[in-house]
Amino acid sequence: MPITFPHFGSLTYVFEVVLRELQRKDILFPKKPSKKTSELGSRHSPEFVCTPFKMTLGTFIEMLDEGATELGMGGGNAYCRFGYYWPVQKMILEDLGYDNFRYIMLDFLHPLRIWKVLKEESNGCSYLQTLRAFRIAWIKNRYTDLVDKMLYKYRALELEKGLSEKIANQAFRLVVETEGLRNIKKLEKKVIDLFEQNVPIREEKDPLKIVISGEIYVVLEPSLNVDVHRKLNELGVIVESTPTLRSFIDVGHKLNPFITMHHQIARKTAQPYLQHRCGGEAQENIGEMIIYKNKGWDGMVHLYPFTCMPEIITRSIAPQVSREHDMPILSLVVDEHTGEAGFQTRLEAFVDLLKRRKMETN
Amino acid sequence: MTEAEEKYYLGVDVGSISTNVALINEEREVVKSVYIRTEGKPIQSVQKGIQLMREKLGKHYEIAGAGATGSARRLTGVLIGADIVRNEITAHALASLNERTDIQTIIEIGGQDSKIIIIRNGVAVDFAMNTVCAAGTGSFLDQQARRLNVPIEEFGDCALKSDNAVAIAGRCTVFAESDMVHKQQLGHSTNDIIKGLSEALVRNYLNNVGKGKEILPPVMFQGGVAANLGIKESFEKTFGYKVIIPKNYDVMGAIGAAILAQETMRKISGESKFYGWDIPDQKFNSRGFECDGCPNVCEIVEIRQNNELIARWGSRCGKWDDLEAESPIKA
Repeated sequence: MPITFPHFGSLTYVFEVVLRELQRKDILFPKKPSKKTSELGSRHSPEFVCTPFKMTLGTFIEMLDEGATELGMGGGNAYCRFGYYWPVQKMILEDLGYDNFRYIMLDFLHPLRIWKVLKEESNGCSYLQTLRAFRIAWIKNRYTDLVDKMLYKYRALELEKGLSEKIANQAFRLVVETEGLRNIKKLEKKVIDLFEQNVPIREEKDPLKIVISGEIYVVLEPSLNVDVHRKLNELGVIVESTPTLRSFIDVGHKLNPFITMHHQIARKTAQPYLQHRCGGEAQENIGEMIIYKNKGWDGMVHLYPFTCMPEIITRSIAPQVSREHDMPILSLVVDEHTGEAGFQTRLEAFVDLLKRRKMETN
Repeated sequence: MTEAEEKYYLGVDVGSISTNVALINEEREVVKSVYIRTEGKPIQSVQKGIQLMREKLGKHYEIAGAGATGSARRLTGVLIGADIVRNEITAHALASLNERTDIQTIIEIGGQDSKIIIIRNGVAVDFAMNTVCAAGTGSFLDQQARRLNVPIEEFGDCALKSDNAVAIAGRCTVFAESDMVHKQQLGHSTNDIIKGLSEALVRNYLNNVGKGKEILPPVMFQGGVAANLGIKESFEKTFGYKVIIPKNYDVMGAIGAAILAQETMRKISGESKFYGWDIPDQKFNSRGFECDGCPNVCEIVEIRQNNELIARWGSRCGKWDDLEAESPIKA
């Protein structure tokens, strides 16, 4: 029974890891979403549903045609429409005539439920073995996040164009292939070394730094956000993305009383502006604006899919935070109609603005 | 009238509706400017713009730097051999600051986009562009003028003649149009409708583009729509103070590009890459094809100068950016 899952930026590697650890041999890797994927998804989706719904639906249609029968997908009682993704997609797929498939729903807000589902879907693993697999996945997620972070820094400063991306691919493979907890824990140093030793970078005194926040799928999946990270990197700007799946699945750090995870700090920082979690990453994003300002970053690009409910809330609070904390914020709406040219103009203008601002203050 | 040794900078701004060319001197004063319609043919209009400039001035002006901006900036940059290619927001901000240093807000309404740029202490600190909708831009006014059979040049004056604006829904171009037709059928005068339309456009602009922005005087209003006195009056009525329209309101983007060229040349101090005044005599053509390398099916565009490939873009993966790669279309 071939199993597949949505293509989700660097998290695709984490999904691969967990399935491998569960001894699944029949993994069908999702294709990178292309124009065809988004066309397929949009054609069969309700018009005003959020873009990640359309993209994942498109991916699933493509993969069902390739022979997948099990579709792994997040769900549960989420704060926003995300919880309804899979039941609605299921109905759409059934209407389209697909009958030999089933959804595997992972309730991302409840690790215990993930554990149970993972055991059921594993290839004969016990609860203990499943827990071990899940644990390896969340630990490896820390390192895929790290590779992303290194890539977004080195690509901005690299001397040989395209080199850091090559190294990043090597690093991702390394993270996926490494076995044994002891070796895995050494990955942090290995990943950093890989970049430091292989990618020559230019010396720049004070490069521009922009944080990218927003809805997690849009921020992490480059084929949906028209590769904003790369566009900014090419303008010589170091970037960092804040949303991470670890805020949900990294049980190790969550249970550790000595570690406060970044998203927890962000939620707390957002308190004066937004007291409630209203889904997505709304509260975190508000917090990040202030956190990154205090860290000395120059600005924020805020990405969200058209009609995303939680991020519309962020968007309307952002101007006030921006004013009170003197943090420039550029909000960009992404959907399947997004024109690359318009994005490029806005990003260039934003970077220009930040550069001139910086020149003025120095 | 000038010595040949003096340096001049050329700025070209190719937008959706108009193509503007401006020539400035070392003191950033406008020597000459040209405003023509793009009419969907950016290559021809760049050539025509430079040709008109050449006719007005003669060939003896030495260009020390050239800049390109506007939505066709990349194409323009290749055609004229620009030293700098920059986005129109930066260009507009620079041109306005050059006009008056104490400006705090810039309103720019062009053919298909509208922007607001917030400036504090001479530095742009925030900007916004219309996002998902083009209602309330120049093209919309253009179309409605044609509908009402009023030349666009007289549109503003008609609005000024009315003192009883008709309420028109300005949220969406299509709805505004049906609302307008409805008001026409009820027998409202054309002038009142035009005034209503101007107010709807201003309302739409402030609610969409200007949302959440702190608009402080002095406000500068530029772009093609600034020629419309009706819109200017509506802005003034809303703000409660005068808005400034610069002398060269319609070519501010080109002036900004020229200033950027001057800044760049000062920094790098070398020869300009500008091709020269014979650009209009060259034969440029562009052709496109669809790459079938992956499911993205990117649309690739090739620009040729006298049949020689000078630029190619459009691929997501970047494989066609290499000019050595063999083109699937024969020259």
